[in-house]
Amino acid sequence: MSLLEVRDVHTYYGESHILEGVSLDVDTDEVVALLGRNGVGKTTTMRTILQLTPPRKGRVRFRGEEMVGKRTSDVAKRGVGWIPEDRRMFGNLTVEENIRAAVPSGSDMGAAFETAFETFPILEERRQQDAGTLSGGQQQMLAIARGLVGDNEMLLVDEPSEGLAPQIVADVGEALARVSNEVAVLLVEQNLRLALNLADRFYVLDHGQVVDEGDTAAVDPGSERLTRHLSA
Amino acid sequence: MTGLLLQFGPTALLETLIQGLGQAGLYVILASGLTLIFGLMGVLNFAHGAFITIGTYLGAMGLFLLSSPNAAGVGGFLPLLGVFVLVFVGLMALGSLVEFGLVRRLYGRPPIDQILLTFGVATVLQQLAEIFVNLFTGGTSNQAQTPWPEPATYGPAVFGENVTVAGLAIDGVVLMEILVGAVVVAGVYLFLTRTRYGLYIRAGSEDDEMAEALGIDIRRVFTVVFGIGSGLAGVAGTFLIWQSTYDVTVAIGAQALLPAFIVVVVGGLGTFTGTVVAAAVAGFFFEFGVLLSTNVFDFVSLPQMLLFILLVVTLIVRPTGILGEEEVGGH
Amino acid sequence: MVLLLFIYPGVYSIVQPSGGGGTVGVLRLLLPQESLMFEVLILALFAVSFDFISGYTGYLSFGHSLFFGTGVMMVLGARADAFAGAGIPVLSAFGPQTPLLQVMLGAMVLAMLLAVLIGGVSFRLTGVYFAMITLGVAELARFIVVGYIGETGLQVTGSDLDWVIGLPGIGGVNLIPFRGSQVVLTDVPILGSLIGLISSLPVVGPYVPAEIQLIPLTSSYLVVGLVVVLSYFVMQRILNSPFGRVMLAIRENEERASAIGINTYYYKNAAFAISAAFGALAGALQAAWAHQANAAGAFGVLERAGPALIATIIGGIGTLAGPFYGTLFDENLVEVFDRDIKPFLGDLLGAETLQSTAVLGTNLNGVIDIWLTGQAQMYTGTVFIVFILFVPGGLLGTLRLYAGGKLSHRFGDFLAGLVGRGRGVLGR
Repeated sequence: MSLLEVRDVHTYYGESHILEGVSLDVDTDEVVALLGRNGVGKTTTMRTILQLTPPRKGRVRFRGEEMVGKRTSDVAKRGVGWIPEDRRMFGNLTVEENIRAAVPSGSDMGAAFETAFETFPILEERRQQDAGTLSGGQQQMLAIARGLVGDNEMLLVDEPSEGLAPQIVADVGEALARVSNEVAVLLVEQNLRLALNLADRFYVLDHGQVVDEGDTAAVDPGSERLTRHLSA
Repeated sequence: MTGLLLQFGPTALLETLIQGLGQAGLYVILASGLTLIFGLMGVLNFAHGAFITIGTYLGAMGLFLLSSPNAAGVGGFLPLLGVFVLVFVGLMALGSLVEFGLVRRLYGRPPIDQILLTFGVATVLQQLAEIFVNLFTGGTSNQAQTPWPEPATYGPAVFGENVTVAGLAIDGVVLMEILVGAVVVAGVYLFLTRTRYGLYIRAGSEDDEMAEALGIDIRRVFTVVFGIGSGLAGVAGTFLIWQSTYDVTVAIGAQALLPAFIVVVVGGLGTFTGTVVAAAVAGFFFEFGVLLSTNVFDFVSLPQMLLFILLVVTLIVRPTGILGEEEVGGH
Repeated sequence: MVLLLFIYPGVYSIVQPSGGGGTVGVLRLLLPQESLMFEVLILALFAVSFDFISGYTGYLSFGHSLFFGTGVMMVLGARADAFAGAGIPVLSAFGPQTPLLQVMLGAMVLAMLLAVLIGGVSFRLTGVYFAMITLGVAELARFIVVGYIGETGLQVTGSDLDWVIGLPGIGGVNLIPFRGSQVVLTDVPILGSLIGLISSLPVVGPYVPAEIQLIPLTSSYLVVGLVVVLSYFVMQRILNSPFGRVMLAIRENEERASAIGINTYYYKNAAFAISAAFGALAGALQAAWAHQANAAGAFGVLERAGPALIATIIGGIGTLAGPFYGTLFDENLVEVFDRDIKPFLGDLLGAETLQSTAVLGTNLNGVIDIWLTGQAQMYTGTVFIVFILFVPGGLLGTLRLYAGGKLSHRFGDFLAGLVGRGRGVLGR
């Protein structure tokens, strides 16, 4: 039994059919990349797992428990963290408050800060600064930190390198590599090289369906198998 | 300014300033709940007025139970505190119930639907209040719509009487409003910045979806905020009992709702600091209007007019309100 | 439906319970009185004008009472000496002898100007702000008017209650009788000659009575009915034009409408101005009939715009006929609760029973007085909440939704017409 099982999920936005029967698995301690062109349903897959956009049909199981029909906060409480596209900081809250908001009630706040600041020392320097004033790279680190302190077993990471300078991308990649030692990761990433470096396995999504899957060791960024579905 | 000084004299102007501060305190209590609810949930709560009305009558009942007419000295204030607690808790329960049973069903619908729903709730609650008042007063004549002066005689003796402070004659209730207004500002501020729920509220106001994805049960936060907002509305309603500009009838909340809306919009929808600033501005505007209309022009509705002019001018000059950051609410 | 409006006075006089103090039958509860239908027509016009902007562009004109009040104050201002002499700008241009039609047109133009002023400021913002600013301006207007005329209001008194109707440019020709004394139709210019012409025709002629007399209520009812129906069709025509389609596009997705090059700001202002003009017309008609008003009844957001809002939601926001039926429902219920329900229950259960049945320290009479009489708003409010939650399309909107598509649009109208006609048939 995988940590996360997505089975034949159909999701709609209003009347438009976005996911047309997606199935995928993520195992404990595994990093899985979800690849595909823009608009094929990668973000929607994540929103569906989180029940932010519940599916009309299909199943989402986490640790064997059905998630469909649950509230997003309950899915999150069971250990699924989300590091969304555009980071979605609480811009008017300080760095510290952003982290505080992500720590489940009852967890050790001190230990959470320790974890976050150990992983990203820069955040400790900016502790009392409003998150909205951070640079893009720092915001991305804060977003990952929020995922780390949430007692999560799995992180859904959406486009972590988007809009970042190459040097920062390397930093973020390194941070994600460290994070993936602790938790399972489902990763959406346009930067193929980064995605394939981080991930153990991959799925390729096209028109709301999984069209290919395999081990990342078997492909390289330029291979025809990938470019067929990924180039515009 | 010198002209005004000559016309009214410094004493009258200073008294007006202090009364303005009292009015500001009242506005803060009236509007805090509205602003919290709008900031977090994007709901412009028309039922706030009905909660104010119920607060007025519940406050009157509390006064009859706990206080006595013209309670002298410090002893008069302790029962008053009891009344405030009673009203706050009662209205908090009612507000939470309304959110849980009705408003909750409309999240995700256009904001207009929420305005409409709370407007309907306001209508029904106000009529219910009328029915209950008539039931208790034995009913054939419509007691609920005729001014009821009796509750104002209860409570501390200094309410409705002038107290001399540093040579200025100030109504005791004005001083109380300044005090409670300050307590509400401090209380809400500390609640928002120092508590876990406050943190959730501020996070949810910015991005409720993200908050939910971090494991925050935003719906429960909504219910709590709606409850607190309604409780504050109730306390504001109790204060209206001693306000000479308001008569105790079931329409009292509807009357008080409009200045509260103005304060919220002028301050910037959803910003608590903005609401506090706007309440101060509106309080001074109002009392200045009172001063002018009783001394210079013979035009009774000048104070209210000044408030609306404040609203319209704000919307023209700075549509997002004094401290509002962006347009909210969608369409 | 149109026909029904015109024959209603006749139908009602047939089924009307004769004499005072007589039995109050079920019919009495179901059928609104003629004087109430009069109110319904005017308030329905107001609700329709509200729906025109709110339902079709999605911008909630919460303070729509501003325009109703504008109409009321123009008409009363023209008649009341207290007003004409007060030197209020605009109003002082009118006097007691200004023909009604001219005053009404003036009211409509003024309302359009106000609408463009308000829209100019608030249409750059989102709908919530629009709702707030319209509400603010309406209440401001109310306070200003209270400042001039006081809380109790204004009443036109004196012997000369008749209106000079007049046509712009022609002057005071009494083309249509309105609020006059007893009217003999054959004496009315043009209409009289028309009747004379018909009666001289073979076949039909003998059936035309030699003298048709109408009491002021009936004649005015017909005039108001004519104006309301005409206004309705004008609005319907606008909504079915390309202009109306732009309004809908704004409601559905304003960004997309802007993106394809539509100047939505201009269209919103224009639609708001049209809506305001008809709102003012409703107010003017009401004042012309009632000859009195107070600031709350004319401008009050809760008192005047509130019921229109409720009627629109119940009838179906975004359907032009919906508010009409909503108003009929709403006003009829208010009337029933205010006046009819106690005698009706008295007849049903026996006055004795009401008096002697003890309920919680009072008797049934007391219960009715407290829970029912005058409390219609609580029940309409409850219906309103239920509609918002479960039937957001309202009566007509939902009917159309279930019948589906464009055909159903007509079908809905047809059904609604049937319902209306059904009342008439039942009455007979």
